[in-house]
Amino acid sequence: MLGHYLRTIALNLARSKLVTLMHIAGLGVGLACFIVTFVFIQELRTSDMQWSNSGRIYAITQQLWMGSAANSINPPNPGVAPVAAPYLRTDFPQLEAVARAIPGTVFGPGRVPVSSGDRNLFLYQYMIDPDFLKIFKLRFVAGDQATALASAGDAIITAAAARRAFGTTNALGKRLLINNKQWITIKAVIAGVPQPSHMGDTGQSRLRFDILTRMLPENIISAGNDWDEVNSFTYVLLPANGRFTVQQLREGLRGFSARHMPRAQGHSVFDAVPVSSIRLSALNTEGVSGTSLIATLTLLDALVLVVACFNYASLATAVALRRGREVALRKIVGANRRQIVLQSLFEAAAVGLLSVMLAFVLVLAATPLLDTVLPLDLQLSQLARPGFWLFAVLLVAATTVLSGAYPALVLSRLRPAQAMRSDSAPTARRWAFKLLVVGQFAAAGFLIVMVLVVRDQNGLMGAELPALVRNPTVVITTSLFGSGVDPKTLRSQLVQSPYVRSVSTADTIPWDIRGCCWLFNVARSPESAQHQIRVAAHRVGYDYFETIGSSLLAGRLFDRDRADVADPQQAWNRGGDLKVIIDRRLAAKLGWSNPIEAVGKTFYRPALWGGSTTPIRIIGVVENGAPRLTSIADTESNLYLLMPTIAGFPIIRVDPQHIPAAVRHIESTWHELAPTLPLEWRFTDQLFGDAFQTFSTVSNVITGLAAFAFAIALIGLAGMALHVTNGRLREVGVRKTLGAKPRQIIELLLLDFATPVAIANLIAWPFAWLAARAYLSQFLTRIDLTPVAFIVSLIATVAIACLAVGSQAIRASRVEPAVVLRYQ
Amino acid sequence: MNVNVAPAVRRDEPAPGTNGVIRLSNVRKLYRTSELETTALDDVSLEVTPGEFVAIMGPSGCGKSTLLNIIGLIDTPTSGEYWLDGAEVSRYSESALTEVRKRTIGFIFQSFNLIEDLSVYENVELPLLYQGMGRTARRTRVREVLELVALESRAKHKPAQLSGGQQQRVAVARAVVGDPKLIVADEPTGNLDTKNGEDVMDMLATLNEQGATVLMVTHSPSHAGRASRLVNLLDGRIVPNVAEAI
Repeated sequence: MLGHYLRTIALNLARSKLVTLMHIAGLGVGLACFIVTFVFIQELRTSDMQWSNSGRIYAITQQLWMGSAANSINPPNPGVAPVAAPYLRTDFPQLEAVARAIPGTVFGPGRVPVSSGDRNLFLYQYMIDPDFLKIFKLRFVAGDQATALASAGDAIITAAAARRAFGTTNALGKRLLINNKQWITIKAVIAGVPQPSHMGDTGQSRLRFDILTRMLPENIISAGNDWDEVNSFTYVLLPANGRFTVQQLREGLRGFSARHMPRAQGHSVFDAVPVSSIRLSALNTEGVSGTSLIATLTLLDALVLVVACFNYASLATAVALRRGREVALRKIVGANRRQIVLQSLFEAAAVGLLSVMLAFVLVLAATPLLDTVLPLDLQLSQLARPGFWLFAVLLVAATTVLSGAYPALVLSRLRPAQAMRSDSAPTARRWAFKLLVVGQFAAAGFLIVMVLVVRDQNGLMGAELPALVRNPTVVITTSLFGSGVDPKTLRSQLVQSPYVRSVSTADTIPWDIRGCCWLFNVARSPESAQHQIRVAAHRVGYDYFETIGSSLLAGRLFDRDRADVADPQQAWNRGGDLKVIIDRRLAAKLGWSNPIEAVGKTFYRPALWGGSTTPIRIIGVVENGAPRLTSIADTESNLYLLMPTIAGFPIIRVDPQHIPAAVRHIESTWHELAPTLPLEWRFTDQLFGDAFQTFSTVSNVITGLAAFAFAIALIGLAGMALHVTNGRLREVGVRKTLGAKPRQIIELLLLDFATPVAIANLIAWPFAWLAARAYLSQFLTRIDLTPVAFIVSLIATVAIACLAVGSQAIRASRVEPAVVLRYQ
Repeated sequence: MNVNVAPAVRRDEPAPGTNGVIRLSNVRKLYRTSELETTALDDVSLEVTPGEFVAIMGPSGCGKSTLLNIIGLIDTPTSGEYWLDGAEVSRYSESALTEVRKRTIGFIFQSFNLIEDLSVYENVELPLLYQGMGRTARRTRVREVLELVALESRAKHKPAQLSGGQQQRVAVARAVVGDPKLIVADEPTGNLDTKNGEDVMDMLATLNEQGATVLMVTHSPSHAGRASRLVNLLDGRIVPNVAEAI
């Protein structure tokens, strides 16, 4: 019997070659998208399983509510205040080890300038507790784990970094000058961290390091009892004897905040997550590049696969019903319902299998391209795992059931006597076809709206670019903070060049979506605990607004001749006010729709940490347009504090007519002032381009998937049009006999196909509206969500669908009634 | 006739006085749409004894094919009883009907209804496949039957490569390959010329002589004349004589 099934499958597939190709291509593309997502997510899920004790390693998470704020400042992620670790040790003495890892720079991911004497370069530095080495068994190439971080100034370096810094891995005893001020001595060399892991030395690594140094109390900013510096990875190692379980740890962590965190600072929720989940959770908390990558890709992939399966189901059903007489005959000669269902499912399985094979070929062929276009870093070694093959089998099975169930059901319920009388699809099931078409085109319509919204949003953001190119500005991405280079000296020397127009500094690199600003809450009145507004505070140097080209709306800018420099710590702890410049949006949120009204007014930062409510005085209002793209943690409002000692990244606006000369001057000045510090700089339009790249990638992904989904849906519609139109030739013949003109026949058929497509699009609107609104909410400046995208999607979908079925409609309209009525 | 099935609804005890192969009692068949109800069979009662050769005649639309479909278990009556070999089958589930059908009944159609993609051999083999017969036994039986209809040399041909008469002979072979006790033939000669029509009638007569019950719908009085009994249908009812009824 199996042989007969296979032979019948081969015959059926060969009989309708074009339809078979449509099936395989449609499902293959859908499955290819699915496999890519599987490999990517699988890689994330199996992260950090290589450690010998990975089952016992957990990372502590902290979700923080500052002061009396109603909303937490962060999602629960593995960033914890360093101050928590000593309390973990005392509260849970059963733990084998507790260790922190903190980036080597106050702001940013730990990228520090280093010098080995003859080589200046950047390396990534993390400061760790010695127990870190007990938890993670790093492979030592040279040196000894027990003594590698025995004293302050000791360091561990990766073999790759040693080659870059010293030209050799034989680096024991060699010294490096970090950040132009601290000497460290290499006590051990380690091999690269085995991947996949949240640690490593690539851009994908959450904990990226080339060198590890011993953490010292003075390394920790705010060495006091501050719980809002959630910048430390804190790992714990459960005992091997199983006497203290993760459930006990998690229960104990429930009261951890109440026991130790001062109430005035707010409160936190602490928890523990397996080390294997850090990479995934990290991607989910990195703003748009994380959340949308996993969630959006999964959602869109599922949509594409559903479209592909619906496409198969509808087309296969149409084809199958054209074979209704044959199936009826099989039933008459003895085939039972199970055999008919099996035959149909075998056929779907064969198509599914061929589609999976095609999908693999597509994935293998496209991987190099995907790795360059998307931030995926696909590990195709996943394909060699037994789990993957189980997945592949399940995928074929699921696809078979999803796509083959409906045609199987329809055929098995076919009544032989009825089918033998007529070859056409039963009219009662025409609605089912339409339902399948609606399903496919609803998904396609959703994607088209998203494409239009994403592209419009990108267009709006891209509008910033011409101004950046017109006003070339150099940003030195080597931070001056703690580097020993005096910002005043640097500025005074830079402005000596006639080609340098303005010099300032900022605490973060403009347009960098990974690092932003300092977030805190403010309120209009000192008593207001309820109506707090979260603001993004930018710590900047003098001449900041002139340099980045932001226009003053009212009041004044920071002035060297006035006491404008802010000292927040003093203001929080010992009283005093802060002078700030705010943007138009914050002024409006505080209740001053006219910027002039805001100047001279005071608003407040609610009391924290047992301190006092801090008055904040507005000295000026500038136009919106902080140099960032995304609305980090729902923060759209910006304020600016003058803090030249914290603002470490120099920003230099240069003469557009003499850019090379200006850059030469910048480079020579830097090398003169900081001969041991490597210089790295970028134009603001390049930085903007880097940030924009993420959104451009998201746009490309959505566009690509939408194109695939739409193409698959069109293939299905065209295929179905072929079959349904053939089934209606007799009706067309009768209508023509009764006087219908070809134009009327075409209109009739097009309307029949266009109606479900249009309904599908309308069904997709509310979902697309919600998704588009969620997507746009991430941006600081965003387009208005108007009906245009939705109407364009509707018109385009219906028009293209009409084109897809038009040829069949025209063919049907040209039939000769005598011919079809004679032979049908 | 022994019908070895396990129907969903089963009455194993023969009804009193029912010892024939086929007994229809007050069978009605209605076709309903949202706006219209058409009576295809109206209170039809009929008994066919084993080994009979029954011809059913009547004008187009009188319900001949509907009656044949119900007898052949590919359609079910709206009301009434249908006893087959002592079991009331009108309320059988579809799977039970399939079981009875594949072991008891062979079909021959006017338009042959061969599967075009399958070869002659495969078309004839199909009922045996669904019966679950072993490969060797299947091959032997198919060759035997093809030899009976003189088509053993055409075993590998596709139906489209055969003449109409040859195709109907293949259909006859497919109908008899499972050794059914009842052969249902719906205008088997309707698409054939005289010579081929006569050949098919000869085959049916031979099968009947060998013990099979044959029910045949036909428009040809001469072919009906070769049956042992004639049943006339008019407007869904059995009438003694069509001409008289009109």
